[in-house]
Amino acid sequence: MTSFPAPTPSAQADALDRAAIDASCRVPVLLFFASANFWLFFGSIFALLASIKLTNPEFLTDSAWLTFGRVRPAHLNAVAYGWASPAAIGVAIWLMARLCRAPLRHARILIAAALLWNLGVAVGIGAILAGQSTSVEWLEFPSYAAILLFIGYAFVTVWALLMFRERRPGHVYVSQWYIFGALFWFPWLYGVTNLMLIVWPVQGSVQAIINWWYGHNVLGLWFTPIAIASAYYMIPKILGKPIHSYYLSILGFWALALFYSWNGGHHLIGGPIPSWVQSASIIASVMMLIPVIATAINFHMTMVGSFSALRTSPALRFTVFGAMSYTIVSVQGSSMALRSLNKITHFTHYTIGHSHLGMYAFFTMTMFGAMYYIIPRLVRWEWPSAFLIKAHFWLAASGIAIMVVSLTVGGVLQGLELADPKIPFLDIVVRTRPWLHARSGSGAFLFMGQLAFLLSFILILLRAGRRREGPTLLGDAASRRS
Amino acid sequence: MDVAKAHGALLREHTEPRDGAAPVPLWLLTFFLALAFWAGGYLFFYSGGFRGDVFNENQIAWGYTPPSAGKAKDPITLGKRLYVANCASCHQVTGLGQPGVYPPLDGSHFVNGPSSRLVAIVLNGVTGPLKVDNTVFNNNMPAWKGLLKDEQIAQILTYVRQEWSNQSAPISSESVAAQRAKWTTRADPLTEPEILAIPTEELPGAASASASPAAPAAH
Amino acid sequence: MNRAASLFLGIFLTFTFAWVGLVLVPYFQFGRVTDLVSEDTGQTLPPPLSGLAQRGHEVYAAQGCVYCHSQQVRGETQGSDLARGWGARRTVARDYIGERPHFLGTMRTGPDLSNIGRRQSSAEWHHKHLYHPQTVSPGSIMPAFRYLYTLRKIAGEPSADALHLDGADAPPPGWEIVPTPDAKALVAYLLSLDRSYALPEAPTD
Repeated sequence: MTSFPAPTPSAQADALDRAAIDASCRVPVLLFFASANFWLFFGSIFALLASIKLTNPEFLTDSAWLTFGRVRPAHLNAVAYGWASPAAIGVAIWLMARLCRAPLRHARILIAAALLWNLGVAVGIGAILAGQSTSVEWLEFPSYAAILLFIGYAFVTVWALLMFRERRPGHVYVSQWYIFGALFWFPWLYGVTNLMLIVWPVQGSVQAIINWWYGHNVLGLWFTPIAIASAYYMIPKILGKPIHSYYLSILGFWALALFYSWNGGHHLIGGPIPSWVQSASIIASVMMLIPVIATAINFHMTMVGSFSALRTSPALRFTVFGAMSYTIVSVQGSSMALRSLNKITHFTHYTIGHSHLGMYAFFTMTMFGAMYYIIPRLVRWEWPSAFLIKAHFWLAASGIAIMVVSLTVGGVLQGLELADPKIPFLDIVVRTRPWLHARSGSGAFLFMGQLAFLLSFILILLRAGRRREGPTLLGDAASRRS
Repeated sequence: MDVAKAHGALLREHTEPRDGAAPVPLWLLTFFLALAFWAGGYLFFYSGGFRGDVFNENQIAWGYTPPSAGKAKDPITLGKRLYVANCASCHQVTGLGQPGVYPPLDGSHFVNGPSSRLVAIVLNGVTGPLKVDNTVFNNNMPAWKGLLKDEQIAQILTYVRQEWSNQSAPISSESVAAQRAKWTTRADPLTEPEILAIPTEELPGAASASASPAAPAAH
Repeated sequence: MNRAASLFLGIFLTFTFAWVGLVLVPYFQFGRVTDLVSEDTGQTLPPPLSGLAQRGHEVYAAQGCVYCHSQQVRGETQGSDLARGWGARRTVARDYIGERPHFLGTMRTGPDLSNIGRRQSSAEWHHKHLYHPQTVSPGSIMPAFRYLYTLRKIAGEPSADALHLDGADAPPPGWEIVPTPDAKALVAYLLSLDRSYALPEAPTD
């Protein structure tokens, strides 16, 4: 494989640099990771409650705070803003410091950001449960909670710019492009949509467009770039190979920036928005095939010849699972945007399956992978138990597979029946229930997997167990690198 | 800091990631160009001329001006449309209702019976138990006199009386108007005894309905 | 790509392009359409909500109804919405000019509610349904909203708006179940949902 010439510093000096960087990252990154895990736990409890309520409507129905229409947005916001965003910020901070090859400074900005952000999430979720939700999907937090998130996030962006200025000169790696994109796009997106929907709401159906422009791009321009940045770092780093093609990296990044940002209108196909808005977003969604295929080829060609490493390295196994899911979920997303398929899948549980494939199988698994790599370096302790990591992986992988399959199959059947006006609506409701039971069961798998991870996380923070000399690997180590 | 004290993971780590220089495959570029071509075509055919008031994706609206609305005239078509929009959520598109909850219209002796009762039911609504084809239903039907015009009620009932297995005579908007005049002061929905007390009078325009099954005299 | 300036410029321009195209252009093109007066009936279309229904709109938001119920009717080419009787025509931008927030929704765990006020025009039905959905819609998975109703002792005359409930839901003798102001507002809002009037861009026939 041809590659650009590698810098050859002395290995020891290099290791010392990295040790200093990791030490400087310890407090802020662990703060973000710990709060992420806290909210993942509560977000999953809300998810289980909501899922059970969909099959057993009498379950906890007498409490206004726990009605389905509040527990469901509490779940979404807890996992999107409580878990996914802090996890992404933590990963982004560490990657930035590593790739700028300079120790992290101004840690106090980041600590203040973490505190503000988590305060905002707590206030926002309380407001939803108390009935003060804005009822705008993905933006349910009332403005007094949203402003806390916005200021917290602005701190992170400012920190990233300062960090970048203090970088050691040299090549700007592809992961950094994605991180910069995300750190810049998200506050703009979040600020503008909050202003146009919550603070000074525009007219009805334009709200819907902005709503789904946000709903899609919080995934596409915030969570996705951070997860891709992480995969672009972890895969070549763990394998000790260069990434396959710099040119595919460039194509993938700019095509994502250009096309993902035009997504959104395809959530309203057939709805009360003019035909051209729908068509523009449908095209953008299909054009997403370009960055997705470019990125998939890049990852795959880097992995070729090294797939056996998946047996041993926890970080690589989770990351590659996530990267493969990215390809699947994106191709599925492009197909769902086509009018002919959308008329079946729209308004059904198929869409819920798709969003979990994206947020869990792709994003969350990639974040777990990154955490498995980063945390031992921050606490200078190896993962205490390979068994817990294996349990986490298999519970998560099988749980998300069952969830996506049941919601996909159930959703298609639901959509086909909805398309036939002769089938009474309530009959469809009754026939969809078994698939929702399967979803509750798969959720329990995911929850148990996360408990295994939570336990690992607490144990490693306590530096439990005996000191290990080598990394905690999952199988017989063909390669002794993690 | 001493290297020996540094965490072991750092020493076994590879250097920071680097870029390979493999070229972008030609077939991939070809595929991407084909996608771009498709996108241009799609935008031409499905953009509604980029107008803000064109919602139907199949309307190719380059240089389009909104038409003055033309009207469909066939009463059965109009009746079906109104039935689907107003009645089908309970009585269903199939006219079979929902067992035990909403009574069927297909083959019902109220639908095919005397038109005076049928029109009165639609105008005023029903409350409480009602026996339809040997099954007692206990539910509420809303009054439609405030929501639908005489012409619309006549179209719906004409459709209902000739759809599925029903083969009864049409109902004219004049006869609905005449019935409406009788019920103007009535505010509450009808009960079963009140419905059965209505004379089994055939309204004008429904003369041939005598061939249809008659309502039972009592239940 | 080592030039930070071109990286930042590209990140800025791609996003600006989408923001202008997908947000600002729609806002100026159809984000300021107005209501109109029907030539036939002299009615303002869409009809403005009453104060009570406006309050009900807030109750609808607070309970999160939008997570299971859409309020948009698609045209003939996209699904069976019209054939199912969820509307007399597709809904268009003008139908929603008074909606803040919008309740277009993305799920149909329950049926579309764009025209529920026309399909179910009885307040009594809505109260029974909210209090115990399965009594009027067997097999429904909608949660009960009993917390929007009050059980209270009858003092003097029974209340005019007490619910007529049978079976296990019936209150003990001497007691009655009455809707809270929130429940009344919610039902007023549901009854106001009737988008069956014709608009120039969306004729009904």
